Amino acid sequence: MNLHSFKSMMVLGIFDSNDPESPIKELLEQLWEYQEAEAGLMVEIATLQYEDGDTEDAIGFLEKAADIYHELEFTGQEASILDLIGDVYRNNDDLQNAVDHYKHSFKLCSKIDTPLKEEVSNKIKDCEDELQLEYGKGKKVTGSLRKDESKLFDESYEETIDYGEIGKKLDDIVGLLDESAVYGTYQKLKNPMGHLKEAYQTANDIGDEKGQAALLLIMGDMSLKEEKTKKSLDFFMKSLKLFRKIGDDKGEAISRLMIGTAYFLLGETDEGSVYLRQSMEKIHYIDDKNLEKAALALLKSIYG
Amino acid sequence: MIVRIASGIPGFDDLTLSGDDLDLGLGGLPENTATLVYGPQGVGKSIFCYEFAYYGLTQDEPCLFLTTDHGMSEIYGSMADIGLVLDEYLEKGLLYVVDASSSDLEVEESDNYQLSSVLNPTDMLVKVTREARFISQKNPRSRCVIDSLTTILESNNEMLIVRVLKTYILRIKEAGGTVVITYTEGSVDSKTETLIKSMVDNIVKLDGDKITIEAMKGMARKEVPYQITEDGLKIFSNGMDFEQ
Repeated sequence: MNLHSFKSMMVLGIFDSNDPESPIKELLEQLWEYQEAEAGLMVEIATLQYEDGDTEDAIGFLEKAADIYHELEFTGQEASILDLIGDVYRNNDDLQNAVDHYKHSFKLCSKIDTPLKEEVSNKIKDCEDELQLEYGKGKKVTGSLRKDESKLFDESYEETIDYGEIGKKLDDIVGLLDESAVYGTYQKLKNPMGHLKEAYQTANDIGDEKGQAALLLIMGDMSLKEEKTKKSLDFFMKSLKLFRKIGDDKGEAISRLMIGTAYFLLGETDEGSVYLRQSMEKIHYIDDKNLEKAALALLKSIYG
Repeated sequence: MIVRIASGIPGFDDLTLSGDDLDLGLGGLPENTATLVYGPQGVGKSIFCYEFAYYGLTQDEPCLFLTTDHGMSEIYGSMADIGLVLDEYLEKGLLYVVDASSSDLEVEESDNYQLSSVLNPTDMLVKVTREARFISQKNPRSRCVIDSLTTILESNNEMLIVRVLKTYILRIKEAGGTVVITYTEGSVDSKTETLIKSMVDNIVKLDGDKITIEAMKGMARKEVPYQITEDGLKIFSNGMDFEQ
């Protein structure tokens, strides 16, 4: 049972019974307070680390804080931390990562309609302008799209999406990741998600970030096929973060394809297009013909 | 009291007699510990593992063998060459192999034979853990082998593999296993090598001429000659029978 389920049970009054001040309720409230305090401390540590020039650790702590706020469903705080992470990346000249975090923050801000929304929106615009300038100067951040591919993105997408076909295409794409040959076999086991989660925990214990990223991608693919699209998006986002961290371009391109597809399935087509476009650019940059072929097949399924 | 299990290596158990009354006059490897067997290439490290594993099988002790250099058919052949025939124990289902050598891809996976890859340390660990848990349910005592750690180190970030080794040893010990790990001396920098040595309980060095017990629970450092014969390793525990 996760925190969300606990909270739902509290809202429904399941813990109320005869005693309005039930010990479980008190303990849970205490736990949330501790978690909130923990997140606050992490932000403070991150600030000091950033001031000391230790950017990587600072981002690590901020991400942990964001995860806690996400778990606690403190959307405003989560949005602020994501905005802060975006700032750190921006100051580090990692514009693409900055944009990704600002966009995530913007999305959360839009949900709760906070004044931060406008500020984040401006940052996104500024960063995107800077990115365009970099392209213009010939700085090769990623690859570029071919004419026929650009046209594909301009076309309206197919309203009636064939989930079965897309699922098959996604399997083909995930299968192109080197680690899939091994981890993909877990799907044949009884309770595959249980095995994948156990493997993810092991990868986490030993600090095998490439393994973690691949497993997140496979878990996301499985969730998507089970039509748990939001959950799959969460897996793909985490996978993207790890692939970027370890500088795995192929993994990053695949994650972006998966994220783009998930957004499409959720009806968020603009966001989906951005990720798919970024993925295609990355695929051209790494010049992986097999992946390019599989990605184009997926795009054709989506855009019709 | 240190409980030792017979190693199955001729002469090794005499060598490891501590002389302590409490060890009941039995030598061998301390049970539920991890032993690093290291040295240059071609000095008999794998043979040490084969004999250790095989003796356990003859005592109905299951063996979990993680191989990274040789496929199952090659191991089968090498063991048969020194008179260690596996058929009976394969039939009994006592031998569990996680094959990360990528050389026996045509062999079908089963409960006793799992394929993995040295490039996927998480997968290796997951499969070894799964098998170890399964084995411990059947038998509280088991033998576990990694032959060799060198290949895993060569294919991955060294610090990642140090963490893999730490987790592996922990999980195997929890499952009641006694571990032997081989490693080719000088494959990684001296700092990592020291770190690896600090994670095991016992350290045995083979150099082609001498076997040295550098560290072992309940005994002092010892060094004696040994030979690789057509029957496997032969250790001259008191130096008396040794012929140059």
